[in-house]
Amino acid sequence: MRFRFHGRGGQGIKTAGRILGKAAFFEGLFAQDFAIYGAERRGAPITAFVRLSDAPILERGHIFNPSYVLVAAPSLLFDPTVKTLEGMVEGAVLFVNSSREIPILQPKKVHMIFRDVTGLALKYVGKDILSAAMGAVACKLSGTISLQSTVDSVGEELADLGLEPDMIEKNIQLAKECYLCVESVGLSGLSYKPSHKVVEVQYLGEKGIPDLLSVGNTAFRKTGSWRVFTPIIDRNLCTACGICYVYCPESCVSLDEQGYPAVDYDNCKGCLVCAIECPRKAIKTGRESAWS
Amino acid sequence: MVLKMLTGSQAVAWAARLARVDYIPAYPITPQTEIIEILSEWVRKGEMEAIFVQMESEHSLFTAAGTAAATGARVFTATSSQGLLYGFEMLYSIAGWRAPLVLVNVARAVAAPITLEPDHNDVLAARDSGFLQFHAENVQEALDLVLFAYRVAEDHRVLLPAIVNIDGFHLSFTRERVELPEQSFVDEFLPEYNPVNPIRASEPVAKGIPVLIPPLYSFFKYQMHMASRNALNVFREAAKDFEKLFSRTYAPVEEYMVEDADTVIVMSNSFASAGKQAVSALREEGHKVGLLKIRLFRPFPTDDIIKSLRGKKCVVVIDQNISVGKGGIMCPEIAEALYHLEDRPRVILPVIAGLGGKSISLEEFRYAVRVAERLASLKAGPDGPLLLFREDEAILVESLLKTASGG
Repeated sequence: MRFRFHGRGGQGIKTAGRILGKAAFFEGLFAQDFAIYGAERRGAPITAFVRLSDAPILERGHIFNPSYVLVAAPSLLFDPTVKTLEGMVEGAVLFVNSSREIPILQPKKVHMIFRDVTGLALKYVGKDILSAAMGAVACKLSGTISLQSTVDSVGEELADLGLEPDMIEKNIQLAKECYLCVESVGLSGLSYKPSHKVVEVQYLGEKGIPDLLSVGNTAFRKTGSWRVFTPIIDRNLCTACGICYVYCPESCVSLDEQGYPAVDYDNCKGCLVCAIECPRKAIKTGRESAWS
Repeated sequence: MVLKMLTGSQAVAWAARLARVDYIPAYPITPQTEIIEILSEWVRKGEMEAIFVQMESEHSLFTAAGTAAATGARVFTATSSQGLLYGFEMLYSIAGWRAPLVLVNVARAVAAPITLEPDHNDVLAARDSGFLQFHAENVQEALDLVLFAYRVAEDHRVLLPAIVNIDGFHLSFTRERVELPEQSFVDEFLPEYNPVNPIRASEPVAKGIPVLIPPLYSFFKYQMHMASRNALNVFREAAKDFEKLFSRTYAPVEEYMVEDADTVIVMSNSFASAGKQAVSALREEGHKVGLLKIRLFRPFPTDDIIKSLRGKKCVVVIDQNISVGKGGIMCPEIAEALYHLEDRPRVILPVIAGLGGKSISLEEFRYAVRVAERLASLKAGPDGPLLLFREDEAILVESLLKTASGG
C-alpha cells in the first residue's frame, strides 16, 4: 500500500506519515515513511510518503502511484505545481480534509472521502495541527491497523517531538475520533500502468541555461491559499490607528485615504498577527472557506 | 611579434593583459603570487584598464569573479592548491551560472603534509565542476592557452568557465623564450566578450535559479555536459584561426614520436618535457616508445586519444596525482576511452610519479616502460598502480625520518 499525504508546512504532515508508519510497524508490517519539504517554509506545500507491505519494501523516494492520497490543505487541490492527484488510478482512495464535497475533475473512478478534521483538531487540540488526525485517518483507511496501534503510535511519535503529556492526551482523543470518523476502504487490484517514453535530451545552447528572465513573477503566487483563519476588520470598532498595517509581516494590510485598513486576501497567509496586535480587538477571525 | 624571456607567471599575466580583461579579483598564495603582483602593478600604472581588487579569501574571490562575469565583464583570476580548494564550492556555482571567466591554477600539491611544489591533485579536484581544463607544458603554451581559454569559454556554443593549469615553480617561476603576440592579432583572435543574459541594474536576471524539481536539475547538468563536449570542436576551430595569425597551433592532445611506437607514455603538464626527453633516450636504447600529452583535460578528448593509442602494444599512464585507495585519476579515463576497441592496447599500466614535485628520472621512465613490456609479453595485467621511487630518495627519506624521530 502506498500513501501520499499533501499538506502545508506547520500542519504536521511529516508526523502524520510517521504515525502511520510507526502504527504499521506495531502491527508487524514492513513500513517505510519519508517526507519531502523543499525549502522548509511554513505554509509551503509538504508531501509525506508511506509504504506498507507484508514483504520487504524495495521502493524508495517519491510515490508516483499512490493507493491512498490524503490532502490536509484542500487549497492544494487547486495548486497546479503540487499535483495532488498525480498517479491516482481507478479504485484508489482520495481523502480530503473538508466539511463538504469538492467537485474535482477526475476522470478515473477514485473513492472520495471528505471529512473536516480541522474542525475536530480545533475541538480537541485547539490548533489546526493535523498530525494525529491525518495519521489516524490513514491508519483506519488502510484496513490493517488497529485503533490500539494507532493510539500507541500517536503517543510515541508526539512524545518523541517533546510534546507535554496533556497535549499528547488531547491528540490521542483527536486520533480516536478521527479513526472512527471514516471506514476502511479495501483496495483490490489497482492497475497502475505507467507508459514512460525515454527520450534523449537535446542541446538547447543559450536557451538551456538556468537563467530566469521573467522576473517579478512572485506576484502570481497567491499565498492567500495558505490561510486557515481569516482576519476580518470590524469598521465599527476600528479607530484607524494603523497598528495592523505596521505589524503585518507580509505587507498585506494597506490603508485607505481615511487611514482605515484593508486586507489583501489574495496574499494574506492568515497568521493573525494583526488580530493579536489590534488594541481595540477590532479584527475578528473566522475559519477560512475561501479556497474554493 | 616580440621575443622575450618570461616566467610562466609573466606569460599568463601578459595573456590577461592582451585579452583586455576588465576585472581581476585576487588573493595571494604561493606560488601564484607573482601573477597578481604583475597585474596589480600594470593596473596601478595605468598600463591595463582593468579593475584589480584584492579580496579577503579565495571563496570571496571566486564569488566576485563569477558574478562579475555574469554581468558581462571579462574576468581573469589565479590561485593555487589550498586556495582552489578553499573556494571550491563556488567553482560549481560559476559553472552552473555558465559564466565564462578564466582562472589560472598554479599547481601545487595539496596539504597535508604541506609542500609548495606541484602535482595535479589540486586542479583535478575541479575535474567534475564544469570548468574547461587546459594543461600547459611550457611558458609559451601557458600564454597561448589563456587566450584559447577565453575564446572557447566565451563561445556561445560553450559558455563555461575555464581553468588553465601551469605547474608551480616548474612553469610559474621558470623563464623561457616566448613569442609575445601582437595586440592587434590577439584582438582578431579574441573578439569582445558578448555575454548572454548579462545582469544589468535596469534589467534584472536570476542566474543559477533554484530548481526543486529533480528533472530540471538533471536537464541543466546535461546541458552543461553537452556544452562542454562542444568545446572540442570550438577548440579546433580556434586552433585554425590561431595558426593563421601566429603560425603555431595546438590540438587537444600532442603526439611525440607516437606514430611508429609500440609503447606510449601518457602525461600532461610541465613534466611532459622530461617525458619527451626520456622517450628520445629510450629510442636510442632500442625501445619503440612515444609520448601522448593531454592538453585539453575537460572536455576529455576521447577521439584524439583513440586515434593516437589504438593498435599500440602498451600504454603507460603517468599520473602526477593520486586518488588515495585507487591510483591515478587520468588512467581510468584513458582505459575507458580505449576499452571498446578491437585493437586496444594489450597493457594499460597505471603509474604514479612526480607527487609534490618529485622529479621523474630517466631510470623511472625506463623502469615503467619495461614493466609494461614485460606484462605484455606475459599477457598479464598490472597489480595496482606502479608507485615510482628511487633508491637514493629512499635513503634520503630514511635519514630524514631518523632525524624527525630524534634518533
